[in-house]
Amino acid sequence: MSQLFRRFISLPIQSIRSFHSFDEVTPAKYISTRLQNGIGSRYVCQLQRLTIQVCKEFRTSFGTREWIANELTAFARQHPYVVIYVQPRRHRPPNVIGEYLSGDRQWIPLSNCDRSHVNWWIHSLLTQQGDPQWRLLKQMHTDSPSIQGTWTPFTNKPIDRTLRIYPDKDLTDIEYPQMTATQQIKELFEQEKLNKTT
Amino acid sequence: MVRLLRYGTIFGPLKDRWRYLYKTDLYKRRIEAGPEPERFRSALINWNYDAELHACTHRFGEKINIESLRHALTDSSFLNQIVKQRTEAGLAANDQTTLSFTHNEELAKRGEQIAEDFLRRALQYWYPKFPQEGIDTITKFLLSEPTIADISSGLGFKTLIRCDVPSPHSTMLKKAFLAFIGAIDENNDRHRAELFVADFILTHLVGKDINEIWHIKNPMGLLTKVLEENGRQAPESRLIWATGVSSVLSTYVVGIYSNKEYLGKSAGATISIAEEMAARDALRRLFETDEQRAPIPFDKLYKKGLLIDK
Repeated sequence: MSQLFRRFISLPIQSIRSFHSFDEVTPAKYISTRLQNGIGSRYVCQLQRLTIQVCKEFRTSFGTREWIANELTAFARQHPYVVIYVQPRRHRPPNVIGEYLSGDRQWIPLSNCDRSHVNWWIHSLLTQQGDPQWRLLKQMHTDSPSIQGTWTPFTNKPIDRTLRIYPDKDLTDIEYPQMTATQQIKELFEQEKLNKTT
Repeated sequence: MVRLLRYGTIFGPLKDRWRYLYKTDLYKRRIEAGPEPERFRSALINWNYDAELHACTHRFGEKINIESLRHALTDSSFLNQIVKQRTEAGLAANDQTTLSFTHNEELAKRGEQIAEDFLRRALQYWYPKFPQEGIDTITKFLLSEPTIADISSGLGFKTLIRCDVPSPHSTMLKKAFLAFIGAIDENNDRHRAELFVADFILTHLVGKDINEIWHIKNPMGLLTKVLEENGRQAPESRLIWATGVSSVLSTYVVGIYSNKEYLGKSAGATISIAEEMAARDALRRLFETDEQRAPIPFDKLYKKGLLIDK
């Protein structure tokens, strides 16, 4: 039912803090970064803007209020690439909304969270790529799984086999050596003799 | 992770007849109303354009004047809209002195010039044996509208552009991105602008094969031509292996030689396909763009010897 509803009306993506409902199919992908972030000489923080919605009176936003009073300026100074908006809303629960460069949006309710929890959630938004609802097919992925190339029946096959006439003496010698063990030992003995004389 | 409450119990039990009818009616009305109209991001209450621009300069670590950046992100359609609004209001529309800004067309041209020049130079530097035609094709691919628009929207220019539609078209995205490069050149130096191009446009080649971007129609003809230019003998193709000749899954391995010297080999379902693929393989080896080639060192091109000026 809710899936059908979503199809018609564009609702914001559900928060990762909300309950996960199994009646919707989670999209899956391999682990990747947007635009090969970090391969060049710089890293671009994917969090574009942060909106903190807070109430000045209610107990539910006590931690959020404390965070704003104590850590907001330092955070803004440390991360000047994030635009921070603080929205006071009377008698409503506190939220933090992160908007990302890719256009995705993350919404996290902060009701009854203390200062350290608020800090944790805000930093988790900061370090994210912004796509919360993806199921990773694997924890690691590579575009080039084999450097040597995939094996085929023709790889490392000696090329002179086309010219041989079967039964071939060399090939049978490999399978069934004509020399007996005694003969081999005798040969080794003679070789050693030669080595000593020279 | 499992939903502990039933749907009905969150908003009150639906067993009441009137409540059920009320909810169903609300649902139907929402469906009838259709999707929400697209709005500008700037229409929302949490929007400060100056702060956004300031953050944008910090995001890429570029020192750009805010006015210059505002200029770079202003599309011509926005200017046209303003002029139209002024004429409707009865103001002098043609008087350009009243408009304190211009659009980014010229900056975009400047940025495109820098990007094209740098990309061509970098590719020539890293793939010295790759022919000029191929380098032109790859540069064209990197500067094409879908590629640049994808990069531009991935770097957050989507909401920052000033234009007359809520979601800017790909031409607008491209112009704004190239104008940003032009603005870097204007405020800093050419070196910074070229580094920006290397970081964000050239990295689009990661995971892509440049031999596939430049599609050669007649590989055997090109191979003959290249060998002739190098003063070598014409290529000869030889069948190395063949299996399952009479079956559906037949495989032929064809090698290409020039004066008994090995150039390349490849497998194929028929002999003609295998020969063509072998010619491509030989070309890849001659141009030094095969899989064993080291990838472009995106952040160390200057350190490795690419000069800023010729």
